[in-house]
Amino acid sequence: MSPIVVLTGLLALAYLGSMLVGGRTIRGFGLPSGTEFLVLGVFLGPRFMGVFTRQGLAGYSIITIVALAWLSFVMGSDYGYAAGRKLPAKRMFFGLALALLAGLFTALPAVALAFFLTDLSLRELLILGLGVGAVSAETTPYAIRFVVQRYSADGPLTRLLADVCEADDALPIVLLAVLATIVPGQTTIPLPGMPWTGLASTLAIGATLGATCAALFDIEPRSSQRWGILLGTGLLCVGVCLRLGLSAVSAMFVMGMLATGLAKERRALQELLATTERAVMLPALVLAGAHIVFPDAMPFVPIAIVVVVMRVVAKGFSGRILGRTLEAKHGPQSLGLGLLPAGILSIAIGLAFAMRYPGVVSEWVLALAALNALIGEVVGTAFLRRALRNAGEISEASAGATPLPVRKLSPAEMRAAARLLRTSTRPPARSSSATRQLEGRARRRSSQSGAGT
Amino acid sequence: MSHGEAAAPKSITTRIVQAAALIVVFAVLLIATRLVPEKQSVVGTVAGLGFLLLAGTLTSELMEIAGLPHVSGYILAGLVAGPDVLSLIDDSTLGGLAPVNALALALIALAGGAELEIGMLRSSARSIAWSTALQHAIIPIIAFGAFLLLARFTPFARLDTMSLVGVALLWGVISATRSPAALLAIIAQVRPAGPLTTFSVAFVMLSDVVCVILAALVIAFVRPLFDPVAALSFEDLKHLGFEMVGSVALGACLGMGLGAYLKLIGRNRLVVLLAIGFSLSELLRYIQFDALLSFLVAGFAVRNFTDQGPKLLEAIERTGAVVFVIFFAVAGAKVDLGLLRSVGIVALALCAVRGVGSVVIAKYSSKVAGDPPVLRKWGWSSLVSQAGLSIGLTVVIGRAFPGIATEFTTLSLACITINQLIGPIAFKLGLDRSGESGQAVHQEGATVTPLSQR
Repeated sequence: MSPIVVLTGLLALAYLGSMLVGGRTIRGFGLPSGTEFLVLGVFLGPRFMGVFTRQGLAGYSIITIVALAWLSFVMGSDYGYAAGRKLPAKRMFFGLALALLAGLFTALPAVALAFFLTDLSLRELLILGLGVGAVSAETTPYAIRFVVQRYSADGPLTRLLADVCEADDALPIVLLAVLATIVPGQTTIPLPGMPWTGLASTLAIGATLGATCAALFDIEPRSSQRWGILLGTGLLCVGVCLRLGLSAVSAMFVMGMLATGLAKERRALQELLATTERAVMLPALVLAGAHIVFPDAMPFVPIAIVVVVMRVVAKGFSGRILGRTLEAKHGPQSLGLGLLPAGILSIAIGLAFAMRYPGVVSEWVLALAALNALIGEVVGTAFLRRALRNAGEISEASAGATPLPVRKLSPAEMRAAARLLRTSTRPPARSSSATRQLEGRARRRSSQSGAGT
Repeated sequence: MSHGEAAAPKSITTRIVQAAALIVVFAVLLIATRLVPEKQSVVGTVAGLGFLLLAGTLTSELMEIAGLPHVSGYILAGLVAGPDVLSLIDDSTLGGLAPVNALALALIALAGGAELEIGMLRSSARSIAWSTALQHAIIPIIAFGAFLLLARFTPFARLDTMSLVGVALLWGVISATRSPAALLAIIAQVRPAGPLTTFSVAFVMLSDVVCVILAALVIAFVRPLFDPVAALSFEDLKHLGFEMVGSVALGACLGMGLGAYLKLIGRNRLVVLLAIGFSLSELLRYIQFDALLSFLVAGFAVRNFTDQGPKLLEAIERTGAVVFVIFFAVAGAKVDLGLLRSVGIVALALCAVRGVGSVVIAKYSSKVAGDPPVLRKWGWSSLVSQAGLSIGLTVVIGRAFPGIATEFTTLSLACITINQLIGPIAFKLGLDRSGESGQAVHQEGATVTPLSQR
């Protein structure tokens, strides 16, 4: 199929993605991270319908990498913040520790099993270990946002989960950067003093361009110019990293963090980037799905079973720790399984592995990422909802409410609703997350309608 | 660039930040290219795109201090980064940016069409008619004569008389072309309003269509001069007719479809424009229709047969911060300084003849048409620039006459380079001196309004 047709198809998907979120008319359908688009990609891929051929996918690898790196930029820009507030350092550390726990729980048995079942080299075992750890570590914040949005969940456990899930994003990115520097890919150019100069260079490029982006963003009030700044710094960062054989995904994450960390106009920057999130995410998921190769049953199936089981165990353990942290009298039993959802970050990392280290191991890593995402989004989200309901943070009425859509609100109606909620019986100082969401939504919509895109 | 939003005066701190950022951007790519000098086209394209976008924007902002147009800044950034100076952008990268350039041209043509309103054309019909007739009749003749006179200093000295006449005729067509992209980029920057702006937009857009037709006619006519066996073929004219009618029809359909979309849905305009720009440019190239004409007609249809013109303009203008920068920075990077050195003097002479001819004819046609004084004085200022269409026609001519392709392209690109450096400065000067710069902002605030409503 012509590359232009595929590109147009991807743009159409981007359009669809924006519509799904922007319009909210079909809110209520779909999985939190849009993993159904991953399945769509599998069906469109070379294995089934062949809309994407192997050759075509290879030709589009650069677009895929740019899309993944851009998503990483968006995530980095939002890193350390939940619902607009800065995360406490303790919770960030906590989130990272739990992610590390899940990563270790899954990576070590997977490597051990592969060591006994296969004749993989040390390099391949390292890729497998870091890859499995990276794609199993996170609990996607989209699942929390999804439950909060759909069921109006609010309370200490919801906030704790939101914080922890936002914080754990950094670990897979760090693992990817570490792997990119200690295990050179096919295109990596050896820098003097590797591997640590590679890691330092990744951080330096991300930090330098992040600071540049923040400085330029602050002095430029025009939104059209701001788009140019974001696009320019982003593409330059990706291009330079690829040229040096470094991890573009990791550098962009750092760039996003630095840009929002240094910019005085942090909120505007985050809002601008947030508008691109779904538009990029859905095509990236479809491409990732098309990249998935179904590995041979042996030794993939035993490894996959071990990874999934150990991830459940790790998340169950994490759930217990979280329950104890809150000193809840009735510790939510299903909280551990509620931490299973994995989403676009895992997929992006898996795909980055597959593209950087072509071969059977990275195929396993991508397939495991997809498996984690599918199981996590289907099973995990349901348990998350149950955990929050058990904790009394979802009212029965909300939990039983149909998730089907309500009428789409205009920006003016959004603002009116937000005003109404602010002036309701609740104390104004302690606004609910529903209020915050409505306000945020109204802001976003008005900025979107202003941007016209 | 303004792109529909008013630019505030910049403080010294802002300028220092911009200069520092420009140094950082250059340094980052310089280090990367020196560490990894291998040519990796796809990777280079991504970095090159980002670099040109940032460096072009920042250079243009800094050149504002000297009162130069942004377009000059974009070109300068591309020139410095290009293969002939710092070599941050190599030839394969420039090749990889071709689809982005096609997209830029599509959006520029769409915007150009959307700026043309029937009422506006009617109000200045007399000026436009006289200018179009005289400029497209006399400039090719003047350029033809100048080319023949200077022929012995050009690489075409070896040709026989008939072939030389043929090349001179082709040169005449190239000389008649103008640059809608440069025009719209300057308009986006200074937000002008007034008779000079209205006339310039209408004339340059119409000139595009005339030049495309003129080129096809001359190519058909010139072919027997190069090849005595070949006769004047009506097949070429038939093909031209088919191409023109097809392009107009497709453009009209696209315009109506776009108008309906903007009215009924109207969301995600950027994504829609990107999809249309990429896919239709490719489709039109495949079916050998004229993409520029189709997009021009589409913009015209949206502007005149629906009420969605302002929406379309607003959407396109918001992409301008990216589109114009890339288009002109790439053009700057493509400038071949070695080439300029080799044919520079002849090219300069040919440009001078074209420039002086354009000014004299503009003044004469303004007088005949009874134009207001501002148009009589500055009407010529938008006629100097050359860019995308000129390069496109050069390529077409090169394909049609492979025997002279290299020499013709060399000379043509040298002249286009000179004109694209001087042209934007001339037009901005004209708008500034005529007092039309910034008038659109005063009249409408920060919203985008078609020229006819300014």
